[in-house]
Amino acid sequence: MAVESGHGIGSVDLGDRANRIRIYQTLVVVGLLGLIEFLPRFGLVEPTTLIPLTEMLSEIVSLTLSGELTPHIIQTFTAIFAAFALGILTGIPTGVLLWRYESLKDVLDPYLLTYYAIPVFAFYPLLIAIFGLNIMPIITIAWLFSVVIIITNTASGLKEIPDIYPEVGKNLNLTSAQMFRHIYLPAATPYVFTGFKLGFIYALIGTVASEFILAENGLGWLISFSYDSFDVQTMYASMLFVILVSLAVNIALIMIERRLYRRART
Amino acid sequence: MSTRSETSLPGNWSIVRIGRIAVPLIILALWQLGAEVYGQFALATPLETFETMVDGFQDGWMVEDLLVTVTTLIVAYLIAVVSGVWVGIMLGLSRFWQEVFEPVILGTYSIPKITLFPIFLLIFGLGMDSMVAFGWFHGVFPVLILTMSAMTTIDDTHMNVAQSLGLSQWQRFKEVIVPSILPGLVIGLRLGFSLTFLGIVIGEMFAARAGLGHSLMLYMETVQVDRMLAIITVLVLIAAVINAAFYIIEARLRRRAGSSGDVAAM
Amino acid sequence: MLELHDLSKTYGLNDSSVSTVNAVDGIDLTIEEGEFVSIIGPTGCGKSTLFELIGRLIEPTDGEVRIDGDTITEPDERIGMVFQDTSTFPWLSVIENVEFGLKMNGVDKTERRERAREMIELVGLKGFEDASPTELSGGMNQRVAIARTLVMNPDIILMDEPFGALDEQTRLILGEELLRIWRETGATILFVTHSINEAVHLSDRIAVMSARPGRFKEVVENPLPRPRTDEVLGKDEYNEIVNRLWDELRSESKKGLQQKMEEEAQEHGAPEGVQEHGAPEGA
Repeated sequence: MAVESGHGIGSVDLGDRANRIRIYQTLVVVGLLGLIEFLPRFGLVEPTTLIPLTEMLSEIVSLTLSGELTPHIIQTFTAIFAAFALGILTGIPTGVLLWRYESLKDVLDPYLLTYYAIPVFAFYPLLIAIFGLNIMPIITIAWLFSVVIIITNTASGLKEIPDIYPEVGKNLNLTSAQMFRHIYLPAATPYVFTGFKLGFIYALIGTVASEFILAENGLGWLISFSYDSFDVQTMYASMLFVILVSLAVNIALIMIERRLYRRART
Repeated sequence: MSTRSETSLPGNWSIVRIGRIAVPLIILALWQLGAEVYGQFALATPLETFETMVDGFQDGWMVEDLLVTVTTLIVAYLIAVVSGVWVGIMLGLSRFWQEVFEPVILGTYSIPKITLFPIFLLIFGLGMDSMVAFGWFHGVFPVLILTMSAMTTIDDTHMNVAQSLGLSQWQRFKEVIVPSILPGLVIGLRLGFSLTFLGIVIGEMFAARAGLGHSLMLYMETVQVDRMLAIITVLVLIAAVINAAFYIIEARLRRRAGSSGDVAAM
Repeated sequence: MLELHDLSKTYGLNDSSVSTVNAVDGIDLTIEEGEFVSIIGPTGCGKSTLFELIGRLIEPTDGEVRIDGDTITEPDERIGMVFQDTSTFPWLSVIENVEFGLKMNGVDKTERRERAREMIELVGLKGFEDASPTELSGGMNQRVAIARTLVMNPDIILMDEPFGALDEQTRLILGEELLRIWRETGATILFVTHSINEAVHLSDRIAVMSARPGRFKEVVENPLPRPRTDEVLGKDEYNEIVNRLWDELRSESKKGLQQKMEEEAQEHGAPEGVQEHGAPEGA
């Protein structure tokens, strides 16, 4: 729709626009962070409800230095990586299977489409009842949450490959192993990676949310525990820490993904 | 080349149908098997669960929780839809402001939002208000994001036509904008519903005095596995039925629009 | 020498519910070593099917393909194929694309690099070895595809409208280049196109295909001498052969269009069936 500057095709204009966007973006972010900092500082919000941003940050630093955060970080990331690894190990072969056998995909399609509508976390208490209160139910929920997006992206990534690439391979009389390794795999990589990216983020959300609901340690647990014990300082510090970690993970994965897509067709 | 599609569908179609019916039956069979292997305390059989569910509706314990959860869900979802669509259209009208706010919106969307739940509890207290507020927060983003991105798919020519015909602002909104963004909007509404639902269930599991999520945790502590499974079944059924309804609407819209441009592949 | 003997392909034979389509029917053709033969025909006449049949990407229903007398039953290293669409791999650089086939055949790195370099030079892409195909134009991508085929040293090169997606000027230039490469390598070329001018410009003989089922209506000897300079192309002989081919093709093109319209009408005339295929998502 209507571009801001009427005939602004000149490069100066466009650069100007990009700059203005960046300035406003910074203003929005700084404004939000400023609100968090100054609302409690000026007593506009009770210090039992919100603490200033700088206090959250210094609390993160002291929690890290005292070593209090370390076991929770280890616990949480163990669960995330275990669930993610499990998701890849089970998701990729299933995705390949769905691509190879189209009727199987047709059969499962309506269920795959409904899957993420189901509140998977409702199974968490049941899993605790079955496994006990340890890392197993958490890994299971995080795996359940991440595996299906890996399956569907693998299957559709392989399906999206233009017919022409396998035809080139056929003309060279490649073996099916060569075909998979040198044609299907590289051609599908960007799409499959998108599945990995989402799978990892979902494993992270699944882990932290499960810990938050009920656990004995982990970053999610730290938030809910400090909430329950009215320790607003630790609560906000661990909350901000989780947010920063997930933003960093997101940005890193998106950057890798962009590079992969730039290498693929435009 | 065109033969591939001709050969695959008709022959397999009945197999696909049978397969689709078989999937829930297989799940039930596995459930039954699991119940027999793990025993009564870990897992109730499908039949026991069904009986408990019926009992829950006759006796009333299920109805009470269901009413609380559904009321919270409806209120939270309505607010999420109205605010999400409104802000989405407003931002979508200007490329500039959309680009300014996009990083903040996408960033917030990508973090595990459940970790922010304590803030809602601190502000709104431990009642229905905080559940509604958090349900809104958990579900508004897909509505907002998909409305916004659907706005960018509006054909400039269509807007020019509207302008040249001298349509009023309201007419332009009703006759051009709404029909253009409808397909993308409905996807946003579907995802928004799922996430609102998920947010409320998790919220109730963590801290609430009533609702299905709350009772789920209660029955976990008292090891009433049949009641847990009954609640999970109800939750899954609600999610599946509403989701299917959305898909039917989406399919209708797509048929009417002549399967034109897909909005957002989320 | 490439011999096509009674080559036929019928689609939908194994499927009881779908009517069969006779794509290609009884194709006979002998191409001598070093010859440049073009195949022209109306849209949907089965040119691409024929191309895939000769390359053995698909199985013929009937008939066979022989190279120097022996029948081939699978993709043969003596045949190299250049496709219509962009077929270069975007995940490889230009030189990696060109050496791909050699690598798959286990040729060691120094040798395959050297041969790939030669071919890149031959197709005029020197200096672009490390570029990504995504950075190159459509015409340059086709040069890469041609180099990738040539590096395998095929006796016969099959080309399926390789310049079909390019603009007129690029098409002419690449045509000239192809003739030069043909002279330098001495390969046999079978060139599928829908452009009469292109066929006349490039080839020794031109096979005219009929509308479906695709048969050779006629194989025309091209009397124009080489090199086909502007002077040659300005002669009456040129117009004569173009007109003759156009006469042959006109009635077939009409028939082809008719077929296409009938098929489309049939598809739209049976909405019940179509809807049933389209419905599953909603279910």
